[in-house]
Amino acid sequence: MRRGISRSSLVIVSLALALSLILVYFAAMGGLGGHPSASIVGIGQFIVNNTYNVFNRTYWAGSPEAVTSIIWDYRGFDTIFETTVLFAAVMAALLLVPGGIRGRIQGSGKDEGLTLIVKTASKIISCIVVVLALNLALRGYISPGGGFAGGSSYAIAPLLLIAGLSVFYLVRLGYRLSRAIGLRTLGLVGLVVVSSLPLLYMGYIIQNQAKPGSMFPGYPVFLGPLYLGGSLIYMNVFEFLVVSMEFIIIFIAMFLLDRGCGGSA
Amino acid sequence: MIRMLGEIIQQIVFGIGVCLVTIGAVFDLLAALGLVRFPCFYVRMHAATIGVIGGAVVPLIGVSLISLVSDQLGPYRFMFAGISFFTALLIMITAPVGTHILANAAHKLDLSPKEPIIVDKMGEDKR
Repeated sequence: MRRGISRSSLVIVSLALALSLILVYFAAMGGLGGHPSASIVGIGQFIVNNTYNVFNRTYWAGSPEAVTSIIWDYRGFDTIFETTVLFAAVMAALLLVPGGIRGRIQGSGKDEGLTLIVKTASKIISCIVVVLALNLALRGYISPGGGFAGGSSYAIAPLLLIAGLSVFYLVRLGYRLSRAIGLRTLGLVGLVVVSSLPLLYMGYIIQNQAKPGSMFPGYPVFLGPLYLGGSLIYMNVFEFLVVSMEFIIIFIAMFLLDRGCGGSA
Repeated sequence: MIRMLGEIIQQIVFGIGVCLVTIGAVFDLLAALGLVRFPCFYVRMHAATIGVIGGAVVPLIGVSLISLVSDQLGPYRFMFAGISFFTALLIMITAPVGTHILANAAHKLDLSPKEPIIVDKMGEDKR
């Protein structure tokens, strides 16, 4: 029954070995880049010193989580354009779907899905995933996480349900293409509003806290006993909405492309 | 008196935790041996499941018990205990499902010879 090592596995193993050797060689030769120069180290020091500096609030971000502060405050423009890239990609994918935005999943799917054990387990796990993703998104301004991480974690829940049960179960739960597109648009509008509200006060775009040279007083950091963390929490929540709904759009669009059943509303 | 009782309980819980971790190590060794020595796919999958449940879930519960009584961790001990216990629960739910669906698929597609066989209810159902 047992034969020798097949030729294809030999080829794969030798390729992997050669690739890892090349990688190690380049990493050892400084392929990952040398040590950062002194001028770049200064930026890191600036961020560590100023992110949650309650004594000198000139350049602070109002959040102890430095990564989220960089993503949504110090380098907010970069993240906005990342969101735009994802938006454009999903729009391009939607153009391919038969039926367009109104594409619907037809059929009942009575006998679809795997065994009962898998169905039950994927239901339980998808509930846990939803809770974890919400936690990541809503607490992203205090602990590691954020809108993008939370949204992409949330996308695992419908993916599990598609794999374990069927896409029809997802439809019965209320996941629709039009609803996902609407919620994503809501998130995008929220991002635009939050990032351009300081412009009304003669401030900068994507401004979080009060900065020298701007009239904007900054988003509230403390509201009584609550800790809000400036604009970061709104940004995280809207980004969560955008990213999770975009992943759901992609899943449903992939199914529609596979079945080719579009049709009218 | 009450303090002494508390210390005794702590020691007992710590001992149970260490025992669970040791049992996990033994299970892992047995699972590795079984993966190498067992004859066919289904029996080997049984060994793999032993490695997951006995070698990951049981020691994780032990770790959660140990960290619950480790005073040097401060308030973080509850965090460690909770995370370990939750991870154990998650593995206990997911791992059997994975092996179940793998075995199911292998049986449906007849990918593996069912050599040392006593009973095959699924095969009877198929016929």
